[in-house]
Amino acid sequence: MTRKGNSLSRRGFLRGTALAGAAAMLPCGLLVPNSAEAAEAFNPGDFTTFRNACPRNCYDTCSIKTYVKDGVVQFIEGAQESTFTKGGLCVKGYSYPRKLYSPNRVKYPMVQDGRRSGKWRRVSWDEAMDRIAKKILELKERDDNLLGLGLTKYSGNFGITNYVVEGMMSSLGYTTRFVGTPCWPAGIDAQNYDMGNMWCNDPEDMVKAKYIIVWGANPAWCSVHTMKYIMEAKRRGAKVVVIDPVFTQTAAKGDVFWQPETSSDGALALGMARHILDKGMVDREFVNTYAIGFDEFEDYLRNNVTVEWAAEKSGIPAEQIREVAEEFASADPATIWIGYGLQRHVNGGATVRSIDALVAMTGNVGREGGGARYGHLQTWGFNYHAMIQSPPEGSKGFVGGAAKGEFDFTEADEASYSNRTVNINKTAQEILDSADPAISMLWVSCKNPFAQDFDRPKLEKAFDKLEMVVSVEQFFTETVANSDIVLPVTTLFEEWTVNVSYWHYWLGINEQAVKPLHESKSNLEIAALLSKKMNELSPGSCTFPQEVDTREWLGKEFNKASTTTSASATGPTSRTDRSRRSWHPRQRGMTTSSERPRASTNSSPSSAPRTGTRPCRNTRKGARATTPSACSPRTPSSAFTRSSSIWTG
Amino acid sequence: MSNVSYSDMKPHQISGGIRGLQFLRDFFAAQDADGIRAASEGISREFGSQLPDVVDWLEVEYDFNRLFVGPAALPAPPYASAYEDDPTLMSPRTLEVRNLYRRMGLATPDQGSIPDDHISFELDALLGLVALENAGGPNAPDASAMREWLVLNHMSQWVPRFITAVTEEDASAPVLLAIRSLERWLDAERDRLADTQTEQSGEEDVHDQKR
Ligand code: SF4
Repeated sequence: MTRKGNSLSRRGFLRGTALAGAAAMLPCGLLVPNSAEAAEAFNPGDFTTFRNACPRNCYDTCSIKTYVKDGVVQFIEGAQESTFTKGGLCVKGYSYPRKLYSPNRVKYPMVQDGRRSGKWRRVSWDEAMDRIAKKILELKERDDNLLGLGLTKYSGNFGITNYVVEGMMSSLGYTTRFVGTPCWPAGIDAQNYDMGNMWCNDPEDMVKAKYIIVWGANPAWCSVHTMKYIMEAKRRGAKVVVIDPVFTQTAAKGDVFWQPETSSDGALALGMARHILDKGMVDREFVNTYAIGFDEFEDYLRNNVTVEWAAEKSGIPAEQIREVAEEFASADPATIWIGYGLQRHVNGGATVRSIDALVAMTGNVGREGGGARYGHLQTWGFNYHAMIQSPPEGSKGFVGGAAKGEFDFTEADEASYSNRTVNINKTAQEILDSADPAISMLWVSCKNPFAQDFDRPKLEKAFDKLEMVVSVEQFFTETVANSDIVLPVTTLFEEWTVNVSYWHYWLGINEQAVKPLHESKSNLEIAALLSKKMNELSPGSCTFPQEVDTREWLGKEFNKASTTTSASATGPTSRTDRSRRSWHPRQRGMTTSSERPRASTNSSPSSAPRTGTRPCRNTRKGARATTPSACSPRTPSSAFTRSSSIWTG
Repeated sequence: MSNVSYSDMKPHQISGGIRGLQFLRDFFAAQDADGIRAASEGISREFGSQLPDVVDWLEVEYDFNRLFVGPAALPAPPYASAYEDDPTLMSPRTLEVRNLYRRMGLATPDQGSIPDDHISFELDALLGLVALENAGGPNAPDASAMREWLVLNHMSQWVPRFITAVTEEDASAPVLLAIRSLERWLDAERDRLADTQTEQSGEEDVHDQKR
């Protein structure tokens, strides 16, 4: 379409700056003069790469490599440097750039005139914060404390700096927290009872297993990266048994598929245990040296369990139960992956304990390629700097002990006041029942209660009781529809943070790769903004810093020095020290993983030593049992000390 | 801010005039009822179309946000890149206008936050190009070519689809007025350029730089 004789050739159009000098004279009202440097045509060959990490509540916590050109994410790939991610992501992972650039993101802070009315108005961040801060101050004035302010947050963004949401609440005073886990509590308790800790083998050692039972998990869909280890083990001759009430993609890839009646898994495990006992296949050396209460367990099996009973309960023929039990007991090593689905039942804890027992009696606990794999939190040893904030002086709160979530690693402080804790699994009822003071304001972050919590109709009723609901979101969820204010929050590409897994042993740094789209802000920045407004309206009403450098705050999650002077000096740091004392690196098995962690990035902040990720740290305060973990069962001095009830699940 | 003022321009070149274009830009960039109202009244004047006698501007703001802002999924996102087969913002479509702004020595404020192909930025750039073209002088031929590219190669690719997306919704009267005016302006601009194009050769697209 170039005119003949026009000075503008194709080349000239791309490279020329013919009009640049005229910019200052143009009657443009929105566009601004470009800086000389930026006015240079962008060289399309230039890619900058960044490290990101998938923040989903997913086993795999992938390390991502992001390619950016002209400030725009062009594509991403799984990091090659992480042997676990191994260069690949799942479909959800690969589609992250579409999430970042979706036309449907929440773009601006907005206020809704009437819940579920769809009547939204755009407001500035300043106005949004003003409304929120005034409401908080009103509650404080009215109730003489801040327990009327509730926080519900779960696993919507596992980036560690997002614990700042809890920190922001603490910096305002004592508030009401929805705590607990909607996900995996029965199994956590079961493993803690049985082994002193919940501590799974490195999934990468599964290639060494000779026999794998995938029990109630579907890694072909839900942990695609682990699947390669299972398939490699299979290629090397391992037998793969998949137990699931649903015929899954994983089941399709197994050698044996059992489809038991739901909630009969415990009976099935006990039936196998009974048969192993009858056949004299118990690893006596293991149980004599490392287990306590095995005699009682033996009696329990003989008096209460038969293979026929297990077959009747589960619907799996007795002959098959015997066959798999024998194969499992004779394979060396053999492992069971215990999924989260089977513990979501009234007998869930006992079910996991029965499977733990099966693994232990065959001598497979604490062995490379073996293990009763459920999950772990061993690599979560951060400073929790963003989370640990102190309330303003003179704050009043709840009197009495507070419960905590499974990802809350802080030590309880000595103050006489605490947060009021309510059950995260009863969001609606807790809001309706709360009194003195009632929960009047709710902050929702990293969570979509209307899609994830129980009792959906009651939830609407409960929300209608609230005077103000603030949702921090990337997209318009049903919870946002039931909110008064929505604040746009950043995606993984737009913020600094760090991620670890509850399954593998890698750590993934998450760099800010691009500028936040629209007006989105990270949870850290939101906390700082709120603090600024609170202190403007009522000096001293919020202890959170009013300016944050998010990269620096990421570093504080690692930098040991930063907590030794803080109020939490007796918290995570000292726990790490204890863990070093109790670390037995060369026990049978686990040596490979003991030599990690490995940082999955070459670009972590200089202030980020790896001390936060020592993989074996088995004295986490608050763990229910004092027995050693699966990592070190063969240390004579740390033989099981549980009561005999360990075997009678 | 400029020594090329609107009054120097030849309004007949643009349906609705330079000011009409300016009000269209302001309409889609509006942030609240007042901004929408001011722009709507301007559009009504410049394009000679009547607004209803009684308008609840707060309701118009809700409607405007539902269509163009959020927080829910947008029936008519005001970004060029949202109308591609794979509707993601910051696409090559976005970067081609970013490069046009660069050529003009301009950039979006805080480049990288609001996508460069938001309709208000594109209308703003167009205003600048029209001003340069009308002012004559050494920049005029380039400005004219860039304007042609912006209208024919870029905006024509998506603005009609944007217009359809809005008209398929049950939009409020001021929104429909703005959309119809935008349509009139685009049609007139394309007709005018089609006339001048007949004198042109079929040289390659000056801005063919898809990745
Ligand atoms: S496999 Fe899991 S961690 Fe990896 S990209 Fe997919 S959702 Fe994220």
